Amino acid sequence: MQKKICLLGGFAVGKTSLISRYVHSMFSDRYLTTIGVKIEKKRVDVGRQIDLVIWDIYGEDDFQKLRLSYLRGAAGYLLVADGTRRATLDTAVMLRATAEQAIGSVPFLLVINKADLHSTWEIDEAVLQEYAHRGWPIVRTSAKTGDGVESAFTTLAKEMLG
Amino acid sequence: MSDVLMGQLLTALDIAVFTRVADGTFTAVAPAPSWFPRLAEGTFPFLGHILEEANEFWHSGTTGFREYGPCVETDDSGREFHYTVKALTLGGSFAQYLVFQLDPGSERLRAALQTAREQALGIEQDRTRRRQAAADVRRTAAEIKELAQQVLKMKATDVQKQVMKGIQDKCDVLIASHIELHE
Repeated sequence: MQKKICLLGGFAVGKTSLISRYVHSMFSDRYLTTIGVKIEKKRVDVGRQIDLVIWDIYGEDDFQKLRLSYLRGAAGYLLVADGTRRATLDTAVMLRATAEQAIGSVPFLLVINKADLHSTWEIDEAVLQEYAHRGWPIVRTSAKTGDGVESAFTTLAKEMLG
Repeated sequence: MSDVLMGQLLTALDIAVFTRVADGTFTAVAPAPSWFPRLAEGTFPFLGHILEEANEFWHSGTTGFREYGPCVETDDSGREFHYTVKALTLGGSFAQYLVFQLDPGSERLRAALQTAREQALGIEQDRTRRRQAAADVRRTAAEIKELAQQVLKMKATDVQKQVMKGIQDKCDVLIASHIELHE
């Protein structure tokens, strides 16, 4: 079984790094802007085997806006924010609305990345609790150390299986 | 121009062109350029996505083209390359083509975006540092004010009281300041 998932979020939140950590067990500190779409695959076993087709979509900002056609056929998505940058949570929230409009209500996870820099986070736990109370599943990850990364993808995969 | 010459030209220009035939399959117009075979397996999901939309375009019967991408691929050496895909319908003959082309513009766009975003990140980090420094100043001022308050409660001379009062007033100014906004 094959499922398409997308990673959405502001620029430099670590979408490509999360995929690189998950698919290739690699991490680089160097930030490299993504242009267009990059597609990776990984087979995951969550009771059933799923081939995840992971779409790494360029970061959202004033220069590049999300192209809705990229979301077509997605069975789920990860909304990625950078814990050290408050504004990236706002971008993720905005993208959630855009995604829901485009592909309807499919499973998603709010991923707060850069957990290795937790002491410098600008996103308060209280704010995250608010979203959790609204029913948003939240995971904290570090693409650098790998913490939470596997769990983010497998949790989404399980959600997609229902 | 002969078909052979056209084929050589397309290959030399790094362009892969396929004709869409009636049953929906594709036939190569010319030998694929060297970068193209690497796509065969890796980009299947993206091609599937394109073909869905391209078929809608072809079925609409309009002439012209729709462009998709850029999409990123990585070769064995780790080098990334970007390409775009065009679904094309020629006027008159209504012949349908799928055109794959490397997109050198993406590299230039990436370089420009990289610079802009690094600068934006730098400004954000600078702002954060400033905010943290301002918070530190205010917290320290509050602590000094508290110490001055404790001194005032002790036996102190009029001069000492005056100095402590002065320190408290200055601390109030710092605590109430908006120095993080001064950029």
